[in-house]
Amino acid sequence: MNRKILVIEDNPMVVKSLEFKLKKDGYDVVVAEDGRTAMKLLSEGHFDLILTDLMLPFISGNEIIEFIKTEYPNIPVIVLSTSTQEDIITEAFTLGVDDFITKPFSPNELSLRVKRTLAKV
Amino acid sequence: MQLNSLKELENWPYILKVNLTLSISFLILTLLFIALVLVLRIVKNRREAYRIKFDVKLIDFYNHFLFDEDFEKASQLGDFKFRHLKTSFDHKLAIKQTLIFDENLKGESSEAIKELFYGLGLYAFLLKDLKKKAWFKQVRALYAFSKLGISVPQELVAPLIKSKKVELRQQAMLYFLNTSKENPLGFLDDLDQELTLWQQVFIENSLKNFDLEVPDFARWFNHEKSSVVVFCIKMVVSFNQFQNIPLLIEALDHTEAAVRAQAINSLKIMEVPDALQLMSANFPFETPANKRAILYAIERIGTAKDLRTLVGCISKEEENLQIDYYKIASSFEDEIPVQKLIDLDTITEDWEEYKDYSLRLLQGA
Amino acid sequence: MSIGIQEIIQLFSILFLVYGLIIISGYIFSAFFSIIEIRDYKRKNNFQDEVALLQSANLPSISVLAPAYNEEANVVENIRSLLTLNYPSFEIVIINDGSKDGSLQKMIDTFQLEPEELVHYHHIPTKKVRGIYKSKIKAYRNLRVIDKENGGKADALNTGINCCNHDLICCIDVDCILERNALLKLIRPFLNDTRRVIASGGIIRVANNCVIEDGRILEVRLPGTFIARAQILEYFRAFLMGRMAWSRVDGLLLISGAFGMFDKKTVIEAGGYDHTTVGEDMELLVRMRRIMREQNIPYTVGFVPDPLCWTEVPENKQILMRQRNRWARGTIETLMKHKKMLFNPKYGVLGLLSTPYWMFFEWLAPIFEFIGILFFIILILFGKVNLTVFSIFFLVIYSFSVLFSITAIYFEEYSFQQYKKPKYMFQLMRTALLEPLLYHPIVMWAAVKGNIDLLRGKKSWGQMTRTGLGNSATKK
Repeated sequence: MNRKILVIEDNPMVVKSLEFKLKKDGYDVVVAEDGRTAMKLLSEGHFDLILTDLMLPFISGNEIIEFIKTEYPNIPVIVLSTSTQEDIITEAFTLGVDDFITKPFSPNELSLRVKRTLAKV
Repeated sequence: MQLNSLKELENWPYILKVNLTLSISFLILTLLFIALVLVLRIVKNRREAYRIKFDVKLIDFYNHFLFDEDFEKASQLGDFKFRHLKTSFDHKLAIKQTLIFDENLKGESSEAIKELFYGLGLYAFLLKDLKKKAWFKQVRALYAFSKLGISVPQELVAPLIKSKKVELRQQAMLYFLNTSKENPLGFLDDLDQELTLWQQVFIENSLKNFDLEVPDFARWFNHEKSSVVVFCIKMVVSFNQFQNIPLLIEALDHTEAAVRAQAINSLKIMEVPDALQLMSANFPFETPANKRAILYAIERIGTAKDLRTLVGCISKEEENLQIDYYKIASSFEDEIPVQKLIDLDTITEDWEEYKDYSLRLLQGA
Repeated sequence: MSIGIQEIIQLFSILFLVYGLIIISGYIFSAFFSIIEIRDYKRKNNFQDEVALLQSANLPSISVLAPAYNEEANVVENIRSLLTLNYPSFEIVIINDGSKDGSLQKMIDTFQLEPEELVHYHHIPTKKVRGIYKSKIKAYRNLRVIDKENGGKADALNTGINCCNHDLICCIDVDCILERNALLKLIRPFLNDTRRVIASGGIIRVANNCVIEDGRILEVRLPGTFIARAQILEYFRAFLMGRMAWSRVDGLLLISGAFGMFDKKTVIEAGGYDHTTVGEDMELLVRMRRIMREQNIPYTVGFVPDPLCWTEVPENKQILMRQRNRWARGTIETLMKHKKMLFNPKYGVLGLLSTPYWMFFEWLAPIFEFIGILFFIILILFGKVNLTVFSIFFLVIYSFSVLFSITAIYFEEYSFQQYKKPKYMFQLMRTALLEPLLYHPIVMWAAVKGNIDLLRGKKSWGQMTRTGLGNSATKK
C-alpha cells in the first residue's frame, strides 16, 4: 500500500505541484487548505507524513505543529515555508519538526527529503 | 388643471424647465450607471470563472512540463500556445502563473520555467508592453523580467531609471539589480533622486536573494543623496560588513542629521563600544532625536559610567531627555539609585539636584 | 400679497438652482477625481510583494493606540485579534480611560499583566496615569495597558502618545475589526514618499451582519436592517467618492478616528488631540496640516482605499441620531476654530477648496435643506404651490440623490466588489431608491439638531451602546 502524505498549504499552485510530484513518486496525497480541515482529516484517518506551511488561515502553522506533536507524536512533520528568519526556523525545530524546507524549493530535493524522513521512521 | 400648470410652466423663466431637464438627465444617468454596474458584474464574474478554469489548465500543463519525464516538451509547448494562449488576458494569466511558479520553485525547475516563459511567447508579449507608452504596462513588464531575472536590451530600460514616475524608477532599479552579473548596485551611481523607504526595503530584499557577492557599501558613503548614504549605512548592518566600522564612526560627523542618526543606530546594533567616545563628544551639539539615540546606544553597548558623563549635558529644559536618561539609568539599576531622587511628575524641578549628585558620583568613581 | 409671494418663490427658485449647481459640480468633481485615483491605485498595487515587506528588519515600528472605555464585554477578544496583525514590529497600547466596569481586571487576569514603572513622556498634558502594565508572558510582549483617570477619547489618545515607544502611531477604535495586513497597507504612503508624510487614513467598512470569527471577517454580508444598509451607501459615497477625490487633490481634511496612522512627531508639534471638541479626529488633521502649511514644510497625507477596517454602525435610530448630532457639532467646531483658513489662498487647496466644501456640504447643506422644506410646507399650507411645481422640485432632488448613490455603488463594483452575491447588489440598489425618502431626513434632522445643540452649548458625546461583534458563527 502506498504511503499517505497530508499536505497543509493554501497556495493552489504549490498544492498542485506537490500533489503532482509526490503522486509521481508513488505516494497518496491528501490536501488540507487550512489548519482546521487538517485537524479534521487527522482525526479521520492515518497519515505517514505531514507537509505543512506556517502561514495559514485560521490557525497558525506553529499551533498545528504543536497539536500534531502532542496528539500524533509518531507522524513526522516537514515544514515548507517562505520564512528564512532564524528565530522562526529555530522555533519550528523546538516544536519538534523533522525537517524545514524554505520556499522557493527544489521539487527534487523535496522529494528526496520526504523519502529520507520516511525512511527514518 | 394639468394643462393649466403646463401653461404656467411656460411663463416661468427657465427655472422649472431647467429643473425638469436636470431631473430627466439624472434619471438617464442613473439608468446608465445601473446598466454599467450590471455589465461590470457580469464581466467580472465571467472573467473570474474563466480565470479559475484557465489556471487549472495552466498549472496542469506546467506540472507536466516540469516533472513529467515522458512529456514531449517541444511539441506540447507549441500546441498549448496555439490552442490556449489567444487573448492578452490569457497571456497575463500565464505570466502571473509563471511568476508564482518561479517564486516557489528553485533548482532544476527554474530553468524549465524560463523555457516555458520563452516558449509560450510571454517574453515577446512583455517586450511589446515594455516598448509602449503607458507606464503601468512598462512597470508590469519590468516587474516580470526582474522577478525572473531575464535580460532585455539595455537601451529599453536605461532611460526608465530616470523616469518621473516613481513606480517605474523603482522597477527599473530592481530590474538592474536582479539581472546584473556583477555590481548589482551600479545604478546607485547615476541616481539623482532620493531613495524612498519602500525602495530601500525592496532593494535589500533583492540583495538578500542575490546569488553573487554583495557589494561593499562603503562605495556610496559619499553619495550626494543622503538617503542613499543612510541606506548603505543600514546595509552594513544587514550584511555584516564589519570592515566598514571605521567609516561608520566617521559618519558620526556627517553634515546630515539623518545620516548621523543611522550611523548611531547601526553602530549600536553592531555593538561597537569604540564609537561611544565620539558619540558622547558630539552629544551636546546633536539634534534632540540624535541625543536620544545616543542615550539608547549607551544603554545597549555602554556602561553606567558612560551614561553619567552625559548627565551634565542635559539641561533643565530637556524634559524628554531627562526621562530617557532616567529610563536608561534604571536599566543599569544597581549602579545608579535614581528612584529616591526623582519625582517623575516634576522631573525637571529635581533635575539640577540630580545632576549634581550624579556628577559627584562620577568624580568619586 | 400674491405678487410678494410670487417674487419670494422666484428668489427661492434661483437660490435653489445656484445651490444645486454647486452641489452638482461637487459631485462631478468627486466622481472624476476619485475614479482616476482608484484606477491609479489599482495599477500601482497590481503586484503586491508583501513577503518582502514582512521580512524586512528596516520597516518603521508602529504603536497601535486603542482607547477603551467600559469595553469589558469584548476587550479581551479584541486585543487577541489585534495581537495577530501581520507586521514585523509593532506594539499594542490599550488605554483604559477610567472604565467603571471590570475592563482592567479582566485584561490583567487574561494576559497576566504586571505593573511597570510609571515612566512616560509629557509631550501633551493629560489626566493622571494610574498605572502602566506589561504581560509576563512572552507571547504577549507586544501588549501594553495604560490605566488612567477618565478624560474622554482625545485625552486617552494623548496619554497613549505620551506612553508609546514608536515614532508612528496608529489610532484605532478597540472594537473595530482590522484585516491582518492593515498595518502593512496603511504604512505604504509613509514609505513611498520622500516628503514628510504626516498621516494616512483608510476606508471604514460596515461590519454589521458579516460573519466574524476570531476577530476576522470570514464573509461579507449585507446588514438586515435598512438603516444599516443606508449607512453602507453613505460610507461608499463618503470614502470611495469623497475621500478618494480629496486625496487626489491633496485636500483631505478628515481621517476617521476609527482607523488612521500619524507621524508622532508632527502630532506632538501640533499639540495632540483637542479634548474640548467632539470632532477631535477631524480637528487634529486640520491643525496638523495648518501648521505644516504655516511653517512651509513640504508634506503630504496618504489615503488607502483597500477595505482594511470594519466597524459596527448603529442600527438604532436614536443612537444614529446622537452620532450624527455629534458629527455635526464636531464639524462646526473644527471649522470655527480654523475659520482663518476658509477662502484663504495662503492655505492652497485647503483654504480654497476643502474648507469651503466642508462648510457648504457638511455644515450648511442640512440647514439649507431644512429651511427649504419648511418653506415648501408653508407654501403648501397657504396653497401657493401647485402639484406640478412641487413634483418637479421633488423629482430633481430625488433623482440626484439616487444618481449619487448609484454612482457610488458603481465605484464599489469597479474597485473592490466586497458584496459578492447578486442579491446584495439589488438590495443595495433598492436601498438607494428608498434612502433619500426614509433615511436621509433622519440624519438631516440630526445634523440640524446638532447645530441647535451647539448654539445651546452642549458638549457631551452621547452614549454609544453596541450590540457587540462577537463570534457570529456561534450565533448562526
